[in-house]
Amino acid sequence: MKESLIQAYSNSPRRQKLQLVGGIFIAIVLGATMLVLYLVVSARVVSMGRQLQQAKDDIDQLVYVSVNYSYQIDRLSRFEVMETRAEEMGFRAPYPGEVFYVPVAGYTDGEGTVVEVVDDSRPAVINVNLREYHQTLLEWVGEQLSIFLRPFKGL
Amino acid sequence: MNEKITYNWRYISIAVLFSLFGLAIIAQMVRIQLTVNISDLPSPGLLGQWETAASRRGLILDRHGHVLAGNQTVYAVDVNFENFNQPGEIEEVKALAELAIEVFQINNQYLLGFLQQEPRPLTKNMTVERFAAQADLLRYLDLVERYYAGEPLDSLEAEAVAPQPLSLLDSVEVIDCSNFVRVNCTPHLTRSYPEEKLASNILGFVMRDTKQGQLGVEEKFDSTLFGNDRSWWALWDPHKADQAPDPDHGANIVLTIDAVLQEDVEGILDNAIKKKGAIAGAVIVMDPQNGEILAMASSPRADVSRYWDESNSDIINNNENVFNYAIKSYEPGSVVKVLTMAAALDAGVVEPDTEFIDEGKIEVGGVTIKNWNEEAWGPQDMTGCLQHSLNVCLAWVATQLESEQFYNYMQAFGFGQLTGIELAGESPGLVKSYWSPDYTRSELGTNAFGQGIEITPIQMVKAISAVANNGEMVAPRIIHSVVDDGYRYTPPKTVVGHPISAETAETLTEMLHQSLQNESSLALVPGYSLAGKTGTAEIYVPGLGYKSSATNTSFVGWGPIDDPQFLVYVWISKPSASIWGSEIAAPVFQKVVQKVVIQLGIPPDAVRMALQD
Repeated sequence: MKESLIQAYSNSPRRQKLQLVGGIFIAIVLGATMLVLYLVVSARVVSMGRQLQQAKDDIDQLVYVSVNYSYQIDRLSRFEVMETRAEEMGFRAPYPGEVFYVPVAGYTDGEGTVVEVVDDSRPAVINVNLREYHQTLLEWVGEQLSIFLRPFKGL
Repeated sequence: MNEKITYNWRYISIAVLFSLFGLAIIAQMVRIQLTVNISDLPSPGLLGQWETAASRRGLILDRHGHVLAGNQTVYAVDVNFENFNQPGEIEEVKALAELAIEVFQINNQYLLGFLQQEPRPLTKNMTVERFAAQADLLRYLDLVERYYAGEPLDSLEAEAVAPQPLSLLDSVEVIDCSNFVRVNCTPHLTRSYPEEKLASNILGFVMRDTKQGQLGVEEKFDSTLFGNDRSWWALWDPHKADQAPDPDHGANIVLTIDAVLQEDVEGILDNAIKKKGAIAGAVIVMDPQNGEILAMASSPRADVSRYWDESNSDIINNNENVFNYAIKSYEPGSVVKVLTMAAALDAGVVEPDTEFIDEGKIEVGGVTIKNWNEEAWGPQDMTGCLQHSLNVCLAWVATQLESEQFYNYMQAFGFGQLTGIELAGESPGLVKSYWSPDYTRSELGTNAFGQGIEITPIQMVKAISAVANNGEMVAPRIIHSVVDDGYRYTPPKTVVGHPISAETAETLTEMLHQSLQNESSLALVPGYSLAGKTGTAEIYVPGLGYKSSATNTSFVGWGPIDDPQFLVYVWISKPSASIWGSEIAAPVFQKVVQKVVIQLGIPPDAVRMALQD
């Protein structure tokens, strides 16, 4: 009696309609969730890609600015400019016989210390070619799926 | 029954409504993800654009870090000719083009012809200048802005034509032309030579169009210096952002040149050539102990920062195709006597006090050889032969060696071979082999005093380094180090042979020191012990033979003789004031040494000895 009541209840037209609607809702929610995930990941990839493009543009701009600064320094330190300034300040190159050599105890004329060159360590290599930058969610899912299914192959 | 129908209708309605809503959301998501509206892209139909990596060419610096070759930001300036045939816009575009022509001093016949054409061809963009300097572009944009503000074109053109003083950049920031509808500008890097003519014979230059190094260090180390500023098709798709190459800068090269000394030496050489009425010349200053070239002057020199100008291209593309006289071969004359004597002393066929009776002429291989003054000098020891630069004596010395031994020594000194100096365009010179079919024995006599053979100044410097440096011959080098990606590579000193013994070198140095002192040479520098030798060679003129009125004058010397720190070679070609090396090249040597000792901080011998004690 009890079982027949439950069967009658679950097979009632109203219950069947509710199951249908619920099934559609679940399908929609699942589909939307997948797409939202895909959208979020894609958006992040796009955002990072844009940042990378912007960073590369910034690097280019910095190179140009750096070159412009160097060019300014090159022009400011030209011999012609420096000699003119020296002459204006009353300096001139010495003639032979005008140079006096003074011995300084303990002093040795060295090559100086090179500070801008690294001799003993390699600069860190930053790999910006990350796979995530150019892998779609579908490719990632396919890859994960193949990893998941790998143990079952050959069974 | 009616109630059941109502329930069905409600359920179906809710299901359809939510399904439609859900499908709409999904459709929108799919549309966002998968569809691209081409018309929304910056350039419809394209998925990217050509871009150029901002990679700079490596710097070339002197040994103290002074920049001899750097880089400069320049711009490719385009004028947009779209709708050029529309009334009103024709005048506008013509004004922009004419201002560009005046400011950038363009000689673009295509552009000028284009402006004359009626009707105008349908051209969208035209590059009016590919290498606009930043200061010029700023000036141009200012004029364009004022043109749009209503200032008359005539006054703007007059302002554009006015010569501009060479000034510093007003701003180091990259210029953005996007505010101008009809003007586009794209930055890129090009070579700059801030010191213009200084050391240009060493540096060479870089072609602006192809970015290829030409001549000198620029050509020899083109692949090392090259900044990989290649263009690539840059996709706007951010998924492909990583495909854009990073700037790949070229390596920096540090030369052994001391730029201050180089400037002094170039000044001395230029003055000598001008005052003595010569046509060309070269001076090399080398450290004989390690082969480092401290200065290498050549005259005439081109201003490689404007190599395309007629005056400079004439120098670069001269008749003999000589860019650097220091690596060009010529008949050096009596400076070769140093090496003839070195060979004879080393082989033991003569001693410093070997006596030779100079009768004013000697016959070698059927050819009569005479002295420079065609006189007999009587009894002479070997020092006297060098001091008076006696052709007859040195021809006799060569005959004592005989051909095989003489030319073996010349080969050991590196004649007829490239020295390996890191400069493009080095000549190997020309020294005949004694076994070659066209060799005659008379050449032994003439080669002994530097006629009939072709040697470059750099070869002479290398060979003489063996005499100055106790028999150890070093390879001349002009590259101090290469700096790339934080690392420095310094080529080591290279000993390329010991053609003579240390004893021979010491003996010969003393003989040349004595001969220089005895003749009260114009090369002497008070306070410093020097050894050296003059050279005067007649120049062969095809069809006329050797002419004594046109000579190559040379001088080679080094010092201090007990601890040689500099070796100087001077070559002045075809001077009109005098034909003698002792009067033309020797004073140049003296002036150069006076600068060298100050610049290198070499005290006079007396001071140096006192310090050593």
